[in-house]
Amino acid sequence: MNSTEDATRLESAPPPSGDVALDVRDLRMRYGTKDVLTGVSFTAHRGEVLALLGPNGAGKTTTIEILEGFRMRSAGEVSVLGEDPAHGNEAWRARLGVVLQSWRDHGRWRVRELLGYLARFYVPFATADVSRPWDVDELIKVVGLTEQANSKVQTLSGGQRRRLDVAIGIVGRPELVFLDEPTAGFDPHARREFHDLVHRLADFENTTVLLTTHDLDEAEKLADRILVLDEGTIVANGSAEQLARELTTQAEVRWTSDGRRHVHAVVEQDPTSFVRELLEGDPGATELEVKRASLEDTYMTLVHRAETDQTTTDRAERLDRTGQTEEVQS
Amino acid sequence: MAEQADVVHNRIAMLRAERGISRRELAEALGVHYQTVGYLERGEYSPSLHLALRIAEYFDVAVEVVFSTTPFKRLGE
Repeated sequence: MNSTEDATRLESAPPPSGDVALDVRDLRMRYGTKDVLTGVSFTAHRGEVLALLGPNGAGKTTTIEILEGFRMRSAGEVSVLGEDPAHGNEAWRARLGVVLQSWRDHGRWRVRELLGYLARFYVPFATADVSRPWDVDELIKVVGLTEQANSKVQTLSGGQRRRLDVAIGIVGRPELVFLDEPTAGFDPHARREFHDLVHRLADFENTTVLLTTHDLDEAEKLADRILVLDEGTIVANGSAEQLARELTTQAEVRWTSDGRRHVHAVVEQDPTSFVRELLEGDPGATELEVKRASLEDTYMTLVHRAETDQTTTDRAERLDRTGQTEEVQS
Repeated sequence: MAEQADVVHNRIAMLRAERGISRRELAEALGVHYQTVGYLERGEYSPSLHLALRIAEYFDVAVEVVFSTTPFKRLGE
């Protein structure tokens, strides 16, 4: 509709390069009259692991489904491995891996049989750069199911079943994998093994991974970058460390002096100056700790902040919206 | 009054209960971890002077209403 604007945007954008696996700009989704996504923008580079966090109903699954090509967007530009998912063909689809929240079929198949069967579909999509599919026995080993290779799927434990889901998702050696809550119901050991698997994909296969999770600890350990989605828009985008540093203005300093534990709350950004003075003033201070807010605290602050902002500006915004609606209609 | 030398007694828990403020609310207002409020209330940690003043400020009372070097009398004593 406005060619000048589009041209400017293209110019200012980085040149389309083979390094970008996902490029999402101003993605919008509306179900009926309800806006679920109100302008989501982010990019993912090849080999990057991104975690999409957000409260229930924030739009995580909708976002992923649009990127997978399972759902048509209302507006915005989306490029997944260089293609628009709304028009992706089979060759494009073969380069993606999708692991849904859960699937409970194929119970009577044996693990190796099922993977071997699915693997065959990817044979025509092998390229000079990427041999497809994955060698089935090697894949079974990578996901730690060697001992269960000849077991029926219905006899697997929850964690084994989930690892099989992941194996099914990656059997075609995808360049980009979508994982929707991959470790729900895992015990800590299975979770650690799954993290190793994801890191292996990113480190050795240069696979890009976009996963959703509610587990902040997991996001912190697993993801290079965390995107926080709230009320249909990205409210934070950065590494766990960056988010904690940028979003929290407080830290707690604890130390022992004369056999007593002491605590001080630093309200300003950097606790270093307090610590310096403390150590100069009290050479007997020991067991010094500086505790910053955890990612969970940061996340709660963020989501809470978004909600509070909404209530305080509620009235003004409602007036604004009325104005906008009239403008759009006229 | 054979009190241990550096112990600081406090009435944070009492003030908090009286005002109907949760530990979490107080923790957020002060910028400390939730558990730290518990440590302070039980006297396991002594607050820095600055933190002590901020706690008094939060309850809008003089600092000696919240902190004392001698034990506070129990209500009704």
